[in-house]
Amino acid sequence: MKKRLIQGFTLVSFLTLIVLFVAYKGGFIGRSSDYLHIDPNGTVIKNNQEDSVTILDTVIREEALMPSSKSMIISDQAKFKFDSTIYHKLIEEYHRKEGEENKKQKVYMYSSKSGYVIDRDRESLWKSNDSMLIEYLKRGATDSTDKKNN
Amino acid sequence: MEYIWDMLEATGISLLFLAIVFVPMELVFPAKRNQKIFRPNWILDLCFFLGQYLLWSGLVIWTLDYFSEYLSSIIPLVFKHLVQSQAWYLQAFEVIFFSDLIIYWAHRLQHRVNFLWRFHKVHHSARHLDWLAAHREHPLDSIYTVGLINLPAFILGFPLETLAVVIAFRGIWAIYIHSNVRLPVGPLRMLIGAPELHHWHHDMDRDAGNYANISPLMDIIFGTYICPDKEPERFGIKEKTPDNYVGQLVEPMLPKRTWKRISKRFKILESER
Repeated sequence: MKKRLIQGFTLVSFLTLIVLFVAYKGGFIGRSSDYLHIDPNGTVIKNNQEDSVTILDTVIREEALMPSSKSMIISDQAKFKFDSTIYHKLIEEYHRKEGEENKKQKVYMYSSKSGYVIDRDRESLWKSNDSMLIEYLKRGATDSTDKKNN
Repeated sequence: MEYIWDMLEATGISLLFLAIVFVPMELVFPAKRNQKIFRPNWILDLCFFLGQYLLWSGLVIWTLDYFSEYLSSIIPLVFKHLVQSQAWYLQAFEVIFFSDLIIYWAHRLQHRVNFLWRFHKVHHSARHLDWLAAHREHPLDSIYTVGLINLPAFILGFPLETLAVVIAFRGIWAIYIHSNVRLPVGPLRMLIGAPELHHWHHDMDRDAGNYANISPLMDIIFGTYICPDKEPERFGIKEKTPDNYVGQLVEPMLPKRTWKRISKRFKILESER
């Protein structure tokens, strides 16, 4: 009887955790709703808008990648990338190489691939939210304002 | 410095979460009763886990970015618009179906073609299967697998983020099927993969079957579905493989002779079958 109870409890816990995880990754729970209220032209984004679009694009694409039978799904990889100098360097290098004209095209090209949300509706880009992203953007905006004030 | 801390934090949380999800299951419903949580080579698998999260995920994503960009430039817009004019559920079905089909055959090729097997055997070299061993994968193997599984979405221009729930489920279920759990789910296992199926894929026999990624449907269609009523006796491969992280990463990329010389020179241990 005791064994049955332990088995039942373990199984229910396991299924609950899986459901919670899937719901979290699917954006149904645990994501800060205030994110939806961020205006793409608002103060939070304003100072970082151009970078944010590019970075967000990468993030969305990354989060939207299908995992293999073994790898990479649990953590919010977004966090890795936001502060990753490698990605910033890659983005900067691309922009430097391709120039302003191609930079616009890059955003378009992104949208015609897996980052389709951007092409369809720029606002929906911001709905692919992530609490860490908000923090990042807020931090970026604060840093930027501080720099200006100084 | 802060980003390193962030990365470590996210990796630590992921490790903890996975342990909380899978360790109780492995203790209560063990497939191999004698297998301990801290079984031999768990540190090697932990290295693979950390490597995947801290080092290689960036490389994989970077490669995929360029790969998808290239594909985007060669696929006619007319084709994409045609695909995207379909109902969302139809597109979603197509993406999942073609992903499963491609990865099934790509996986079979990995077991058949020696060059691909060199990298894929790293994953199969685990002699003890559990949720941590699921992460044992050569980074080039990751690029191959993740690249191909995303190929239909890249080609069809499908917004995978709208399938977030399915993708998340697939991800965690893929780890589950490697776990040291035996929990028969009856006929449901014909629809969705289960540890008892995937464990047979990790049998010592290189062509054991059960190649499908998550759902065994492709195995059923192409006749490679196997599901005996017991667990395989032994997991792993018949070949010798290094028992350390760097060795496992380097060995597949070198000619056999060169590797032999290096392993002799540096006295790198190789597992005996």
